[in-house]
Amino acid sequence: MSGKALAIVGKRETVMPFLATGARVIYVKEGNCVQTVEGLIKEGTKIILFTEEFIEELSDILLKYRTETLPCLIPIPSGRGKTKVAIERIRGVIKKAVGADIFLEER
Amino acid sequence: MQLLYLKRRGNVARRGHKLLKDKQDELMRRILEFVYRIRELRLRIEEDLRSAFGYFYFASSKQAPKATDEALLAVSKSIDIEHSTERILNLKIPKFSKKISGQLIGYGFLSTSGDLDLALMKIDQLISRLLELAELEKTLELLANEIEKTRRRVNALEYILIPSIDETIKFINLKLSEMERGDLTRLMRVKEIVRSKV
Repeated sequence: MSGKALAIVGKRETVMPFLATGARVIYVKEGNCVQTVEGLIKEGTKIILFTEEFIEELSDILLKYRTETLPCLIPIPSGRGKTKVAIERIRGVIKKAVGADIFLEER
Repeated sequence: MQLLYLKRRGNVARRGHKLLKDKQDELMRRILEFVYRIRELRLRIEEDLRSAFGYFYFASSKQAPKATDEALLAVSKSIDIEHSTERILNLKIPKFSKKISGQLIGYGFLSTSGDLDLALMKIDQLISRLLELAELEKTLELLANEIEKTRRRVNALEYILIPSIDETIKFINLKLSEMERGDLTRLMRVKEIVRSKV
């Protein structure tokens, strides 16, 4: 099971340091991210961390697994400045649920 | 018959509505707790990750690219994730725990720069917080979904089902009393006719 439960997906230069954690690190480029993540889910990966820049590309998958307990698909910052997409995503989720933007004071 | 049935249904609907409303309030309270925790955690992770990446890029620019690759390949660590589920208000929430084995630094110090050690150590420390974030964000998402669903149910009960049942009950009641009045006047009229003939 080692390295199978946790996978980190992203561009080579961004996710390479994560090799130090012992997690499974997978390099992807724009375009093949969706297949990679789908493959990982089929293999039974529980947590998939992906870098923020792929959030758009993966939006269908994110929507599909929104109501399931597993897998956990979590965007992580790519380390190149603040893209804020991930925070925007949570904000959207909360806005939809609560009906008000309670993340607001952060701005 | 139908009236009794509807009255019972109305009562059940009202009870259900109260329960669901309570559930919605509780979900809302919990989601607010999570929101603040997630925000703090995410901001902290972002900060740390950026500094770790900074060290890493710095290190890899100082040494030969092959050396970085080799150093990373030499990491003998492996991480095992154990997962269990917890229930919050009938929602299955994932919980993760990790087991780490092996060593972080398995490369020679000669060909790599000190910044690499720092970067890798920082990222290594981050992983448990990333797991926590994964757990929390998934929980938040599930809670948000549940709130949406519950809100829809509460609204359906409050604005559609309960009023329509009430209206039907009212209609039946009116009809029944109308029929009763009709019966009564008919009876009185018959009695009058009989009395006048005698």
